[in-house]
Amino acid sequence: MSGENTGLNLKSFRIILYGLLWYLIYIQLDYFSNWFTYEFIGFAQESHLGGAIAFFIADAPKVLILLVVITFIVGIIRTFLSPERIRTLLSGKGELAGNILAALAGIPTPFCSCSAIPLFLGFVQSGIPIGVAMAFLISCPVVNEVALALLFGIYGWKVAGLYALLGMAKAVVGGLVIARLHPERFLEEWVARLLDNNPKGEASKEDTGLFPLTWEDRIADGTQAVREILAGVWHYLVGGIALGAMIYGYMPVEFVSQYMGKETWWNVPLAVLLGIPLYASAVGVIPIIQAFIIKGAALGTTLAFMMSVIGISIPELLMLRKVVKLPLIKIFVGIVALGSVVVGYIFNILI
Amino acid sequence: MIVKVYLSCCGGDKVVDLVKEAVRLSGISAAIETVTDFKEVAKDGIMSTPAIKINDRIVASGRMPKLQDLVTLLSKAAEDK
Repeated sequence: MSGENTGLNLKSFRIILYGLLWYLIYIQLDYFSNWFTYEFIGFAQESHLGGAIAFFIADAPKVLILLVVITFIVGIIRTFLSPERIRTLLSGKGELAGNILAALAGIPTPFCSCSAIPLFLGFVQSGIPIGVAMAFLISCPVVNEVALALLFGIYGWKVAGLYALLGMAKAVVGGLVIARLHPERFLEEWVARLLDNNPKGEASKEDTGLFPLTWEDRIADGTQAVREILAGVWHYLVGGIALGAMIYGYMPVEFVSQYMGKETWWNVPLAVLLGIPLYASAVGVIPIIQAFIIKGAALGTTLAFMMSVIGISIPELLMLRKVVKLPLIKIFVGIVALGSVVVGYIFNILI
Repeated sequence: MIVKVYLSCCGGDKVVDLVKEAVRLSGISAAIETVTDFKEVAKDGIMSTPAIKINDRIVASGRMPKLQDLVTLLSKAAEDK
């Protein structure tokens, strides 16, 4: 028994040590990348290539460190928030409370569509209103821990907080609107049958009674989450940062500030429209928008683009189509797009 | 005994291997079924994968159990029958 305890203590000690070490590296990154690019290699301050390299050197480790830390923490939190528990939390609540909780539940749940749609189904199956389940689906990819951590790391808590707040507001309003449109008629027959067979909304439960999760299990789950995210998103990360570095180094400032600045009203809806068919993880989009913002693009315009890129993905829509009929998918896309436009304008006005 | 393993499109071959190994170690003869179609997964009331069902009991949902625990669960289920 004591052997297990020392094992756990050693593990926590290592985690704290890593945390400290990474924090020290993290706060030195900007300084280091400037020193490395302009003094060590010797690029001129105004050189395009130098700018791109400095950006890449500062950004890649920064994004990576944030990503690992937040995924680890959320991986552990997730062991306390099983889908079953979220479902219990959401059911039997008033409409507004249910929608708000659904939007909140979107933060720690993984954004991969093959986990979001089964959750959506499980919610509907146990009698949670379709509006509430849709609020979850709207919130889940956009307001997730990865996006929030990166926004926090790069733009600070105000931007991250406002993004979370507006993203969740969009999900809540979306859920309320969808509930008014009698969405039951848009369920596919086989889903409706599942509901008919389960009138009391009974839910099957995981039965872990025999082996309750220990802290060691939870830490192992956190580590596993980090491994998965690194395996799953590293190509987005590298691609995004490389593209961001290109934009940073070579995109003319005049072009960006003229067409992507705050003064141009039509760039917000255009950015959202462009983003709908595109799909990437927040990890890939954030370095790109970061480069645009440094070049003078408006924050709201770029965030609207990001919300539309990560909020609507074709694979997710195809999977959703197996569960609900086309009209509800159109409504879903419409709400997410419109919501992104509104959020973009609010950001441009406020910040 | 029937052991059902539920997977998603995100993969999860590892969990199938785990179950196979657990069945082998427990020495129980069990049929292992894998379910990947998410409609079928939903019909069985599974909300997150990977999930494992022994007879009618969901013993893991959304995570990989430890091999040792799985072996115990299998032996328990065999006793109950």
